[in-house]
Amino acid sequence: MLNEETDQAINSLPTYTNINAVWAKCRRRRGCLAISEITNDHIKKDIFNALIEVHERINNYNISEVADNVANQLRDFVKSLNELIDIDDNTQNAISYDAEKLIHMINEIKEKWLKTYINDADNTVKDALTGRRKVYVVKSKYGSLFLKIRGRLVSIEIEIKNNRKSITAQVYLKGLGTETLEIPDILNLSDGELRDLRLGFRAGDGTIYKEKPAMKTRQIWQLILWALLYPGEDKTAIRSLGFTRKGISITWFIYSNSHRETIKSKYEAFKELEKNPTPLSLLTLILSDGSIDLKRKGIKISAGLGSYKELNNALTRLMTLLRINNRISVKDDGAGIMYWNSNAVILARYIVYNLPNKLRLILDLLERKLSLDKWNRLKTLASMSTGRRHGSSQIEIYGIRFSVLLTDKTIQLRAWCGKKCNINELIIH
Amino acid sequence: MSKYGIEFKQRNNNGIPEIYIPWTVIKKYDYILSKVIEWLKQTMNNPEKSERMRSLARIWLDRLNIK
Repeated sequence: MLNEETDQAINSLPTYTNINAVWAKCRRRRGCLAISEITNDHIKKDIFNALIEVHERINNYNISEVADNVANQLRDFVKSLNELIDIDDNTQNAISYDAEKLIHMINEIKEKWLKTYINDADNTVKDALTGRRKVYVVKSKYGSLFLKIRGRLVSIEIEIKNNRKSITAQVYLKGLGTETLEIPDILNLSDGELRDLRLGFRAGDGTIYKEKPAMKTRQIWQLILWALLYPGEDKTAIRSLGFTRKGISITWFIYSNSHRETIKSKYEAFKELEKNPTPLSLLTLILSDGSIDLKRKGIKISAGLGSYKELNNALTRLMTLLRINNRISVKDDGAGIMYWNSNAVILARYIVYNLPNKLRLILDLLERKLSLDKWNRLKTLASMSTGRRHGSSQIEIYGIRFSVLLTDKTIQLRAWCGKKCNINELIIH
Repeated sequence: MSKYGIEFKQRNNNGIPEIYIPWTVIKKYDYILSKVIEWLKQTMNNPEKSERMRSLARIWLDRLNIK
């Protein structure tokens, strides 16, 4: 889509001084209000570089490949689902009909992006680069910069992470409709099981919309799994496209029209999780916000810099229950609760070996057909050795057993004792 | 630990008090260092340990010039 004129416009850009960036106060769905001009050269350079990067992504990434791939995956999934579980013709038809609606939405977004939206997105960023369009900037509490640029048919949001290296962009598209899905109940789970699975999503990617449970996701497997947990009438829409370092992704929004969301905030979800950290809740939490590193035997549950402490508190009871430890990792661009080695394996086993059969079947199918790799990694992690049987990670020195903390930078020996033990006893030992 | 003159440190990890011996102290005490080296050797050759741990153990033994 980069034509000669655009090339010239970009190439002839003198410097970052051209951009018209302002500190702003933004409200959801109410736009942004400029407060003052940004005069700091470093910040203007960061904004300028981010705009250049986003401009390249918008023009270079190929939506057709992504859209066709998702549509094919969906058809394949539905075919296999109908073969896998024993469901009547009506249910099969309902599922196929829902899938075709989603595929229609994917094709529609592909066509409209290529026909209309891409030009507007391209022009919007170009105008921002040349100063013809204002860039509204909000600095988050933790140092990230959020840029907002309004176009004619699109509005673009760019996040420059605190480390100033990582950039993500979301292009919101105006004038797209919503589809209604009629989701049959094929999981046949008890109310308690459904509640626990929903709770994990609520503590992760889930949100609330008009008092209904809702979720925004870039993963098609997550859209399907979430919908299956809320049988009845679900409304779904594609409101935006994500442009990350890895590529373009369709961002889905879904909410259930048949259920009410009783958990009003993420913190309430954490509180509920603290009371009852079931394998089902942890499954959906990890599928939602977790990452699994098989090479280093680790599970990381990501959280925002503003919420990781609450999440850590929510997981304290689970750690006592499973007798595992965790560590908190706080970086410029986010935080996470980390489980390493045997701690990660024990947590994975707690989840993987305590799931209803039908749910496992569906997860296996989502893994095979819709790229739910995280489930595969969680199962693999559960099958690994805890590493406790052969060779300890402890060293005894003067009668005290120390755990060894080994990293590429340091070695430390650590010792602690339980609640009834006094740390001073170790010291004067 | 005090009676052996070990310069340990204290900190809180998620509300649980712990003592720890930093590397700067470990390397000063032959007895502790020999225990750590023995552990690194075992870890390096232990197939039950993760690839990362074994690799880190190997790196540290190289750094300490231990064959």
